[in-house]
Amino acid sequence: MRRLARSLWVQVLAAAVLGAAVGLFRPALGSALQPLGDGFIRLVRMIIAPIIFTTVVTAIAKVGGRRKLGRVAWKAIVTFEILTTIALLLGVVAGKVLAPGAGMNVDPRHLDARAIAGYTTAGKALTASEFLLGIIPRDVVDAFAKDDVLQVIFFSVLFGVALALLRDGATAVVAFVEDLSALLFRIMAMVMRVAPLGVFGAVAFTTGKFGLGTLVALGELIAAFYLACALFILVVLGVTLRFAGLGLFRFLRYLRQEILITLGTSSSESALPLLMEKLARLGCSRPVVGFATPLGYSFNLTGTAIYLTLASVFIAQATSTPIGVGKGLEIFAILMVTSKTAAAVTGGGFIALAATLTAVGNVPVAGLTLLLGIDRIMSEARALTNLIGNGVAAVAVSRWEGELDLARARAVLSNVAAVEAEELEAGRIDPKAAVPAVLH
Amino acid sequence: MKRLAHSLYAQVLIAVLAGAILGQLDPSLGTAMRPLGEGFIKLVKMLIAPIVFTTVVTGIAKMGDLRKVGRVGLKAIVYFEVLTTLALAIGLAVGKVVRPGAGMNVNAATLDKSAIASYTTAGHSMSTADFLLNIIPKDVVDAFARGDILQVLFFSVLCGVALAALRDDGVRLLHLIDEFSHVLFRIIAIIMRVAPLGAFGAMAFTVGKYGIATLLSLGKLMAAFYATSALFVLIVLGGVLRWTGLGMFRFLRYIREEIFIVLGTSSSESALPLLMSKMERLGCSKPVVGLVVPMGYSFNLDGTSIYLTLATLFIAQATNTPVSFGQELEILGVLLLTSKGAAAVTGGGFITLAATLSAVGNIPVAGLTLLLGVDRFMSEARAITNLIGNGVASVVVSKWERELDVERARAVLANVTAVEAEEYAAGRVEPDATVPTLPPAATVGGSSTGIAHRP
Repeated sequence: MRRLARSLWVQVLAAAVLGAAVGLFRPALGSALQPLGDGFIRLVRMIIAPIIFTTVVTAIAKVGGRRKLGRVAWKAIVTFEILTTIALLLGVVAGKVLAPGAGMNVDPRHLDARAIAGYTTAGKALTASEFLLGIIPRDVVDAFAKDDVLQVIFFSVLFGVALALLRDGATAVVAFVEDLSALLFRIMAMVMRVAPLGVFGAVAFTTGKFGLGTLVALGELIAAFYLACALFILVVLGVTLRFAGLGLFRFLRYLRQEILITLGTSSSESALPLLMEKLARLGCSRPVVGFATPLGYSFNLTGTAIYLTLASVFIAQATSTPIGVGKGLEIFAILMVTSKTAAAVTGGGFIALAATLTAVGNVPVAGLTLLLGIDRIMSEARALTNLIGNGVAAVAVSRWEGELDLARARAVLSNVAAVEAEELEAGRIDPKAAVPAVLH
Repeated sequence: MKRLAHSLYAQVLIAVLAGAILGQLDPSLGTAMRPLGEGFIKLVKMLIAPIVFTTVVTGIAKMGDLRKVGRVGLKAIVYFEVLTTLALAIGLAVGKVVRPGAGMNVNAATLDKSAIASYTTAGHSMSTADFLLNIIPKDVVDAFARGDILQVLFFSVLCGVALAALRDDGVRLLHLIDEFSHVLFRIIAIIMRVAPLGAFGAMAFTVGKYGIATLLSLGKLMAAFYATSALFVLIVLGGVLRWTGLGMFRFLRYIREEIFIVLGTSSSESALPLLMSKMERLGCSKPVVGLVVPMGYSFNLDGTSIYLTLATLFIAQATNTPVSFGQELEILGVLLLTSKGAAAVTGGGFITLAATLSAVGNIPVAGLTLLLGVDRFMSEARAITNLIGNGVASVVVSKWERELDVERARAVLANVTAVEAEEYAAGRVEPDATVPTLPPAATVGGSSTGIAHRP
């Protein structure tokens, strides 16, 4: 019992339940708790860029050889493409079969397009070349200051490759980056101490602000989306994982902390550092985890992909816009591109959706307003699917590289509680820690 | 004579006087000296964020105890609250007794509000939750890039505690940060060489632009504020300092360099790094100084507090707005909150004042225009009082934590010139210093750097 109370996932789960109760019974109080959730997400985000930097750099510096790096990158991108394409298709199919918007008969002229003006203007922005140019930082420090993940990855790859080429010429720098990485993960361990508080606030806010009423109003869409996500995780990701030699349920149990934090904060970034550590512990190869996982947060957003096609189909149905097979394929093709560039812009999914609808033409962009109210609820499933998708992708790529320690992975998966206890021990901040000798 | 010329405080004092004379004799030339002052303040400000970071991280890693960090932080906040509340109350009392604005009979409707428009719009300040959320950086690098002291302080505390928890794994990094700190303070020592130039330029600008004449126009207010600040320093801060076992006059003498630099530049931040190293030298514990001084620059603005209540009453009196006792308490209550929020916004005091007047309601915000002309002169006394208040705060919190080496502090205070000479020699930049040669590769990372490096 005592061990249970000390484990993070139990605390997070209890906090989420408590938050939901507060939000349901005292909506005003629940909404007022938003700063707790926001504060926690800010705490994590503040060191995401440096964490990605140190992880990618140490991963690459340890790989040795550009050929291997190129191979890992290539395999990762192929995996991402396959997974997101399947996810996009699944969204279309779910939309066609379940028809969540049928019979709503919304007249788009009556919708208030002002609420989404910010998204539609941003949606027009990026062409492919602009997107590619945007990956190169204007200035290295600026990339870190703006928290631009793709730019940080780009610079980190260059930095890591240069370090690898220098071999013994830069051991001090490699040691420094490793120390920095240890420091940042230690800070993250401290931050995770308040994860239950953040989850409590975020869940109370979500239920308090949006309540069960919104859930019912667009219930069919929400049900369709959650169903599609569940199907994707169980079937597509499950099969992928089986290929790699592992079972999905054990894998999900292994990631329960990360899953709960993601669910609670509806932000998949808040669990990125934890996910990377867990994957490395599982036996995935270092370069894959350090390089492919951050990259996956931009290019392997499977939950977002399902949402994008499903939402497009939903808006078309709700506004009674007929879309034939040709139009459906067009939406699908455009989203193949826009869903990738979405990562480069904040507010991601919504902007990509606006851009897609604009490009397709006959589906009214104003239909987006229908989705604003439930976006937070959709984002729970989106973030969760993204998180699990990235975990599975890292395992798959490691396996493909022949670098998955399968015996170890199986042992870890069948012994989750022990791993968690060890993690808790390592992350514990000893209040009476001995003073480091250096300053005496 | 040679020793005098070698001492920074004498140079700064002479520069301030020269600047004032130039500004008075040739106002346009004096005003043109402004870039000198601004340049100097920029030189110091560019280093404040990294200096706070390195000092706090090494200080806390040395303390090594999260509970202790919390205790020091809490004690500092309690002390800040007590002192600033006292300062606010004193400003209010003086305003009531001296009545500096009585008889001015200003009609608020005829005042030109456009000059203060930017302050009043910024004055719609943020909520407590926003303020607290804003202490967490959006991104660490961004916090440093924008020089946001509270955000940098927050991250530094986390880093320091994490480093302490890493123990031996963090030794290399701690070592690096410690060396980095030495480099930064050495840069400050180089910059301080031009402090006289900066003080000269800023003073020439102040006097040239605003002139001694403005001093006379609102003479009663100026006199009331300067006298109150002086009394606050001598009696309140002096009394607190006496409790720790030190004397105020010796303490003031000890930080005379910092006082003159602040006087010259009318910016208390320009002396922050110097104040931190001086307080450590005095015998205050390093982690306490690292936490208290940067925090104090946001939360312990004694001079600003006195000014805020005094100025509020002044505007009410000048515009013949009656203020009841209940309203006085309201002003005090509102300022207790707004004066803390001021730290997060630039232009601090004036915006706070605008926000407070709007909140209280019946005192015309337009009355702020009366103060625009003298604000620079007011800010001299404000900045000096803030500076001294933060110095005293480090001594008091150190003492409270039983980490003040009183013997040492007394010895240092009794021997200010020797300390300054030593500081001067240490900060001296030898133009023909030998270029450091790199040690052979094998010893890099070893104990050749002078700090004990135990495995």
